[in-house]
Amino acid sequence: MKPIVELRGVSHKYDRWGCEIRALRDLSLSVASGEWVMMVGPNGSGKSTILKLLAGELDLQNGSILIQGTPAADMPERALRRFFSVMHQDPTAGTAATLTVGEHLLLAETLQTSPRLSSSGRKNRYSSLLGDFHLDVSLDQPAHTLSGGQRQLLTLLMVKLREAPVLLLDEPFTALDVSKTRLCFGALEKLYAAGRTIIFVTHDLNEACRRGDRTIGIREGRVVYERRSDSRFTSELEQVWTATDSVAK
Amino acid sequence: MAWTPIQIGIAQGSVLGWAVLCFSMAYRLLGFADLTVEGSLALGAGTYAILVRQGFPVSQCLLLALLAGSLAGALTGAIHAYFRVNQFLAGIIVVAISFSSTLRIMKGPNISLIGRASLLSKFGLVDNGATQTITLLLLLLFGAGLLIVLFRSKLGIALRAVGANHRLADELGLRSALLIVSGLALCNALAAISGVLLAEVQGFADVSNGQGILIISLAALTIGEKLTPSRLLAYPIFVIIAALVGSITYQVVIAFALRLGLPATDLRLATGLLVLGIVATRMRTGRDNVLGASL
Repeated sequence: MKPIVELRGVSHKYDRWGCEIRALRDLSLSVASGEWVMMVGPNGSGKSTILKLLAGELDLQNGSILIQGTPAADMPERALRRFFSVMHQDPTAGTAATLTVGEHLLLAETLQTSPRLSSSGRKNRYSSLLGDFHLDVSLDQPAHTLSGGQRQLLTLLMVKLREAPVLLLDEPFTALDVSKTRLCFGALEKLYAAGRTIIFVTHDLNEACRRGDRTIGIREGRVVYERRSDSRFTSELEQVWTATDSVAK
Repeated sequence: MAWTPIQIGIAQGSVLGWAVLCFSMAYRLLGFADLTVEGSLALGAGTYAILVRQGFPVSQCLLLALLAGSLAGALTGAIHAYFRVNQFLAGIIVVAISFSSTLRIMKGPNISLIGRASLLSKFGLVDNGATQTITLLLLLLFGAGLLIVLFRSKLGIALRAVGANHRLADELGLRSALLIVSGLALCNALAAISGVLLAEVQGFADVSNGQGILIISLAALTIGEKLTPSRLLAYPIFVIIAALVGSITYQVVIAFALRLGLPATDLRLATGLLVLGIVATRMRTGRDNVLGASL
């Protein structure tokens, strides 16, 4: 299948206060349309840099990024932003504290060719969407009154409304309790079933092998592991980790 | 008959309420601590006064004054958004530019409007009496109503999204820079209205008209947010109503203080202490620091 997103020979380094940190080293990977990729790696391995480069938050230094075969550098910044939905670990990052739940949804929907609805029609539609995502809040409730899990569910709901084809998730459920994590994964699976492409960054090796279509291991800016997702491969991934740990030492 | 402090407060609060709205909206809804109001108020007053003196129709004078104020705001926004200059520094730069621009526009430090056909005289409101005060108040309330409608519209929600979470706005693909520029242009057009009305009521425009408006706005915002029930109102409505309540209450308090013998030279000292007192009270009672902008 033709890749929806492709990184070719991408290198990236951060220069700060005379100290050079190489985040990515000649990294190549591709993600097919509708695929769910779990990306796993230790802190500082370059996972978040990959997401930031894709989302246009960082400028590409070396290599190329192709979006549906078109170099990302040739795409207008706004088109690039609208191609990706980003979700962060910090629940406050994906919402605006003083906007209400309804205003978040309206904002997300306005960015798309949303159906023309009356005010009451829109309210009914939004209430039904909140129900679908098990989000038990009022449309008039400001985001700052929501719990972390509710905020992440709201972000997922906005992702649904925005209809961006690719979802970039950077350890989004790390701070949530078990029940909210389950709800969020449930919502994410609905988006996956609807054909969205998902790139999910995590630290959790078990989760990385258990969910999605493919598991990619990143270490020191390189792809060191790549295999179809299957919980039976968790120990194999652990072994790769241990091996690369000893090499690093 | 001498005016009561309440009458004075309502009149002054209605004139300067536009500038307070400018400051509050920029700070609370756009997330931008905008100092430009100190320059855009005088720029609006100066532009209006020189055009009235030159015999232009009052409506055109008013429109051009609003345009001048909005240009100052847009410039601050552009310096911040496109050149990545800190909000405060961008404001300071534009205040300095506005000061010289106002002097150039007026060709001097002040212009008298006494005896000239002007906005208030057009409506027969030259008496500085109760009718004029009520008209100024109604005008302010009408403007506040329009702003509430704006900030609850899709455009207003986008403006507030940029103010509340800039990164989110970027990720959503909103034109954040353009929204900041246009939001600040709108806010400073309001400050220019204050300048126009101040020139009208005083009978002259002066290059120093905007001096002290920042601390007045800060005091009004602090008082207004203390007095307005935040739990009963949607956030943009709360911010706008608090600005009006604060503006008028502050002016009433000041009018009383002056009547009771506070030397006019101590006015800013008293205002600063008042703001500090309210902030300290809120912190002691465990409520959010009103100036902390955190929610």
